[in-house]
Amino acid sequence: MSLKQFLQRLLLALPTLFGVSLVVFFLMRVVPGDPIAMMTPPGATEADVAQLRALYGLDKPIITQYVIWLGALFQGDLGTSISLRQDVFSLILERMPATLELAFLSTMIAIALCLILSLAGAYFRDRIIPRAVDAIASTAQAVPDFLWGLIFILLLGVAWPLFPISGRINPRLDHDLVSQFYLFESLIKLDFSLALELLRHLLLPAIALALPMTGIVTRLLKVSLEETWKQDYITMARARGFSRWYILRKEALRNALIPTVTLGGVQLTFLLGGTVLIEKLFSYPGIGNMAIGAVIQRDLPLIQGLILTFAVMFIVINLLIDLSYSWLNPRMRHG
Amino acid sequence: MSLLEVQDLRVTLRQHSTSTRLLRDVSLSMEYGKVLGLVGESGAGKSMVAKAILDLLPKKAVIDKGEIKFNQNSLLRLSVAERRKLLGKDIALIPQDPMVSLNPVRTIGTHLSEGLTHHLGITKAEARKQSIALLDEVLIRDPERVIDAFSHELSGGMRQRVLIAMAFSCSPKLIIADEPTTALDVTVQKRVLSLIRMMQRKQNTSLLFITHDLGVVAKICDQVAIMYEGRVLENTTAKQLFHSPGHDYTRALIDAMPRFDQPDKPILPVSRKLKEQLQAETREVDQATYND
Amino acid sequence: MADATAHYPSPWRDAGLVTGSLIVISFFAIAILAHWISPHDPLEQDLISNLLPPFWVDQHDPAFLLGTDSLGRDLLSRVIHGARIALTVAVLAAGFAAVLGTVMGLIAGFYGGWIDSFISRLVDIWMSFPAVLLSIVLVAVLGTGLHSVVIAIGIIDWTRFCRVIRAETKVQREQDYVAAGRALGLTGPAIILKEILPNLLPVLMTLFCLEMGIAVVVEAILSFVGLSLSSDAPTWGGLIEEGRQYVHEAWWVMLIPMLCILTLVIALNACGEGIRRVYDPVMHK
Repeated sequence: MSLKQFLQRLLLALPTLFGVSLVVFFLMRVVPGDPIAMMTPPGATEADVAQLRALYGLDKPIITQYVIWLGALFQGDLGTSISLRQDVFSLILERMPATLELAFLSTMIAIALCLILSLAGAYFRDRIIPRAVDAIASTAQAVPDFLWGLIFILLLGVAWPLFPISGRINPRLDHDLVSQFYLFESLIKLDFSLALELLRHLLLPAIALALPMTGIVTRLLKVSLEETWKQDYITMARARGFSRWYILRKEALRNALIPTVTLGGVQLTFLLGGTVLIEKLFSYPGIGNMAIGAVIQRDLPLIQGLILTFAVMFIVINLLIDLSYSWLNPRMRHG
Repeated sequence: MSLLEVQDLRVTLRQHSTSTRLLRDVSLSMEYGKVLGLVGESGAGKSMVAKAILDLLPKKAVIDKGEIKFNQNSLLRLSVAERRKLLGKDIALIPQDPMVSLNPVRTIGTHLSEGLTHHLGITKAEARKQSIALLDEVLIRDPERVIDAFSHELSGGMRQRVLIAMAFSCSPKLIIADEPTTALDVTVQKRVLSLIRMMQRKQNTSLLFITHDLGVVAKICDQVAIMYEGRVLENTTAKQLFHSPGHDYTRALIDAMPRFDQPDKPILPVSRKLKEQLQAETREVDQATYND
Repeated sequence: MADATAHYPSPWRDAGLVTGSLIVISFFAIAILAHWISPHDPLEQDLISNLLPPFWVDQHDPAFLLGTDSLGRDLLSRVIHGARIALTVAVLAAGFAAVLGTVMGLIAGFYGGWIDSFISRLVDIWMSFPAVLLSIVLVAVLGTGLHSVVIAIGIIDWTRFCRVIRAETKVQREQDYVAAGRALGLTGPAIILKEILPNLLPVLMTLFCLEMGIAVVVEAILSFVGLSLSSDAPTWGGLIEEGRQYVHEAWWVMLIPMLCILTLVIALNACGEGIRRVYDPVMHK
């Protein structure tokens, strides 16, 4: 993709974001239940309530509220969380790295598993391995991430306690990490024992998130590899004396990936959506876990901020998918 | 002494308990530096012979009998790895359809140089230099640009030239050209054909030329084998073939040729009666060899 | 078509379908008879005997076959009543999604044209959102409770029905008997109801079973995060949430409802796949 095309895509994302902000704002205004009533102590006077309303701008007409909200949004001001009484933007900024690390590791695991499984399934011509790959892929896909999480907690957290099942890091552990990107920072600082500790916490939730995506993408990639194998340029490569493994890797894989990336992108957004649940299940301190708390507390500013955050992440994922698609397929690069 | 010797090759396709003969005791022999034309209608088994030599037979096709000797060595007794060492280096293929025979996501340069680095063990930089020289040799204009192009940026004739360059890149002893001009425009066909001929002469390569076009045979072949239903009906020199064809079917094929020197000559298709007679013969052959 | 059914193999021979439906039927029976077969009141607390283990573990109490939770409530009874909630949600939500999706799919597939492109585009956009996130947002908007869970699942998952029904309708409308119906002067809706819909029943049944499985999981998820019924109500998700808190002391509180969900979902999938195997004419060619 040329730089011009990239900038075009980037510009196209703006109306999407604007639409999301509109929907989010008005959706949240029709929510039943009064957040102010929830945060006022019993015995508060009418005047107290009105004062609070004015403080959060809830006394103005709804259009005005939107314009004010949008204007503030552009300055990075997402309002103040009602339940946590803190700036929403900095709350999200503080929690987001945890979610990004989880999603990143999970994506890497999914990609690695997909490649290993589908290449093995396409490489071996016997009956056992391709069938085993199919069976693994369908099981991974059929069981939702929630149940995978539960299974892992019971098996590898309790019955055979290899891994911790809650949190991000052992709270008693002393560390001198300055950023919120614990894993990346520890790796950069070459502190491998700390990285290992972090990975032990991350691994179960990351695999639970990765498995459904692994299943569905593996199935498509394997079929796609088998289809590619029938192409004439593969026959040509075989006639030139390259080994099956070499052809699979160098000639077939990239072609087979082209139809797979689009599905992979959709699955990636699902994976990101799944962090909400998995973070709750593993008491992992990311924005997903925070989102559930916000919904239960009816913390409107926080919910809005989080939905916008997820929307931005989805837009970024789609952009990355577009980029990798045109990188894989040279016919897309020009024009 | 011959470079390639195919002896009594019998190939059967076994599928869902039925079996179909694809090749019926085919014998061929090729001299060093000569061109053998393998002629027949579609389904005559010409491409099957090529596939058997190139180890590209379909999964369900079995070699029941026979021998393929290349340079006095039996190809069928070699291990997969040993055979792969020959393929692309000593035996190369020019495919039928250049439009689909190049990988759409890899550059022309990668196609050319991967064969060179793989079979000759030279460095990537050296391979790139040689690749450009090869493109120049097959008369591609602006090879420095084409080397970084993708196949969709080239015309059909250009792609076939690239594939010819790939086939000749490691100076093979034998090249199998499987109807290399059929998929091309008529105007391009001639030029591609003379290019193959030129390269073959230059490198003194043996060429197994598969075609259904006797006109092409007359132009470039030394020897000709006529095939029908997986059988070799006649195997003779090209001169002999046109002067005194030995088989009724050969004669019928020659009669079916359009002749530019005799534009009024009627083009007669091979008669139904002759075909039925040949098919009956095939059945007899099959029955006679049923228990082999 | 009546004569087409003659070619279907007997559903009794399909092991997956038979086992799956037997399990699903037993879950339904348990759910319906919950009041009579559960040994205790699912809400009855007995703080002295809290976190008792199930029968296969030492120190269990025979009065509580599957043990108790942190408030001493009988797990067996809670799981039995949980089946009731799970299946109610499953049937209602899948029904809602099925009706919505089938109507849209029939319209899109039968009439084609701009309405088809509009509905297809809508489905594409809809399916690109992560379902879990969407359902949490929807429940946040609709308020907690069973009705919002049902509505949320229906609103999110109608696309699953719509996509398949649309494609099938497109195939069906090209068939001879549809043309014959038109020749007889039947109008669009009449052809849809009399000629096309009956042929889509096997597909619909398959989708319905699969959707029930999804609904069971989504309901469990929503009650796990606390967006379904109140935590007192004996939902499987609620049990899992409670079990999660005491997982190191009393793993069974989480294990038992999890096994219930897993069994029911796998059985529902087996039913769906079984129906597809037995009744899908394409697979028998």
